Amino acid sequence: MRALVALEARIVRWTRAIALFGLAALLVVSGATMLDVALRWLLNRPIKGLIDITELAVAIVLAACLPVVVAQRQNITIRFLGRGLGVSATRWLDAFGSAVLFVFVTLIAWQLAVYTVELAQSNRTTWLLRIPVTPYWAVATAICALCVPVQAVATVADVARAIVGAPPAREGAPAPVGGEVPP
Amino acid sequence: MTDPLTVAILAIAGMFVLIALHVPIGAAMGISGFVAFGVSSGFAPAVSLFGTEASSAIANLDLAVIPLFLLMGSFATAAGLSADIYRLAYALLGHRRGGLALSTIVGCAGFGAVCGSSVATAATMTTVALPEMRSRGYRPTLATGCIAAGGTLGILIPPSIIMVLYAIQTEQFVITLFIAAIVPGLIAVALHTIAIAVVVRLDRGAGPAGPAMSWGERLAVVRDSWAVLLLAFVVSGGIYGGVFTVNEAAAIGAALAFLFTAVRGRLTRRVLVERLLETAATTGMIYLILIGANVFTYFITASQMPEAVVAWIRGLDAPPLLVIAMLLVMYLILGSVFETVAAMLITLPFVFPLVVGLGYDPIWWGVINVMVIEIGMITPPIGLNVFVVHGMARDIAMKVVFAGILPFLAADLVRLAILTLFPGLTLWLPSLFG
Repeated sequence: MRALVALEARIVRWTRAIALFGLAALLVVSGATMLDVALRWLLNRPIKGLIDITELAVAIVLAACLPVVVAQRQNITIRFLGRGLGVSATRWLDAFGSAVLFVFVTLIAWQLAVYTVELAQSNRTTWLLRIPVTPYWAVATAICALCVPVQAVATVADVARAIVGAPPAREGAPAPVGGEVPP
Repeated sequence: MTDPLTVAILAIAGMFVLIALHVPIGAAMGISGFVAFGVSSGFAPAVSLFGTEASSAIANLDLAVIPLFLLMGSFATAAGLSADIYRLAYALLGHRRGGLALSTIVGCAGFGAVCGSSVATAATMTTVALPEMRSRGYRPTLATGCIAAGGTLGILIPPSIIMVLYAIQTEQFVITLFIAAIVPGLIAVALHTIAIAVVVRLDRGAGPAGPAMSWGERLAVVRDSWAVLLLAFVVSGGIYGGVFTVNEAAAIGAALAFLFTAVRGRLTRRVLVERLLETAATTGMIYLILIGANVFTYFITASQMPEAVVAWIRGLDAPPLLVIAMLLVMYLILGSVFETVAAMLITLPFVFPLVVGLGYDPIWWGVINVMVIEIGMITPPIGLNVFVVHGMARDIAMKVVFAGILPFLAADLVRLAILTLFPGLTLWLPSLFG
């Protein structure tokens, strides 16, 4: 169980690094857009093809935001039933919720991979600069697919917590090991 | 069993059961939509929905304004712009009885123009306004009540993230929705002002007057607030003036807020990491719900359930206004339990076609929908904003905060009734813009 919690903590760090990379890229895109608007209004010379680059970057940026939410358990979940039924039921309900989320992210990752293969087969490019779309979508899909192992670990950890009676995981970080949940 | 309408009803019930069983809302919507579509149309097309809906959400440039506006709000807070706008409102109104509470409401509305999130507005204004009001001897009921209630203005005053979501999901023009929200936003501020006036009239010690500033001091405060005024002017002025698109406005807003944070010497490594991670987490959370909601919406549309419900309601010969009133009650309950994005996305697939099918304007309903969910955020027994304020001021009991929001809740219900009965108030401004 300790090894599982340590792994969860490590996964949170990795996914945070990916999210930071994504959001830093979004900041760069914001700066470029500001420059583009300024150039368009002052010199009537916008940055050529910025929309193409933005389109490709945004897919990766948004994909980079998904693993961190899954790893930090920041999905919106309603926990009234668990509160009413007690700590033991909460653990099993959390494990069930984790398992369904695992199925959900697996289906997304699988079908995004299928979509990326279709893109590769059609050799789709961006409209203005004719940049091939596939490599960028492959990166976005790969980042999305990270949600699958991340949620697999979370699900196994939640089931283990339910079995051994460890405290349920809390939003934002993996739960500590051992002991009972405070009333 | 495979009658689409029956499957649709079971899908909605299944979704709520999954939500009750601790399944994250996005997954509950996605999985129930997938199973229902699989049962009614086959599992091969059903599973492909995850590819089409996820890729269209991630590739949708219009939706990219969500992380950009979130980033803008996050850096605006880091730059201290919320404190600036509060000081500005205080300089102009703080010398009146209840003036600090009024400054808080105006500050919330102003910060809503550069933030777009209700919880963020309430949390920020708790930090900025609550210590000031407490030091001036304000009753905790009025002090916390006006912050929790004022915080809800964050999602009503454009640019609003929830309005962007509504516009994209219902294929409406987002700028029209922003314009339509201006008058209801002003009415909200006016009615909250009346609520404060009533409170300080009934209890003269609830909100003592502060010292008046000279006009020179006020001008100095206006001068010091240049950053927040510039940001609001560039973003709102740019959008409404047609100078740039909503995407460009959001990107420029994010870049400007980042620059202000840097220029003011507040951009430490820790602040940068915190703000980026906060934006990433909120963005990811919204997108996972959105993907699930899109799968669910696809199924609901394919099942033709909304058309059947509209036909059924027409058959009942119930007045459309009664249907709207029932929907509003449903949203007040939902809004008090669910987070705003979730409350809207869960219900939009079947409520939107119903409302439009009854002959109501989709822009009007967008504003009403956002407003009623936002009122739910201060409605007992849950009220997310109340929890936020209480969470940041632990020494003030939850019941005190709930008691404090009652006058504002009454004002909000009056506003809801006015805007529901007179759609022209919402639709007048968009009609001027053509």
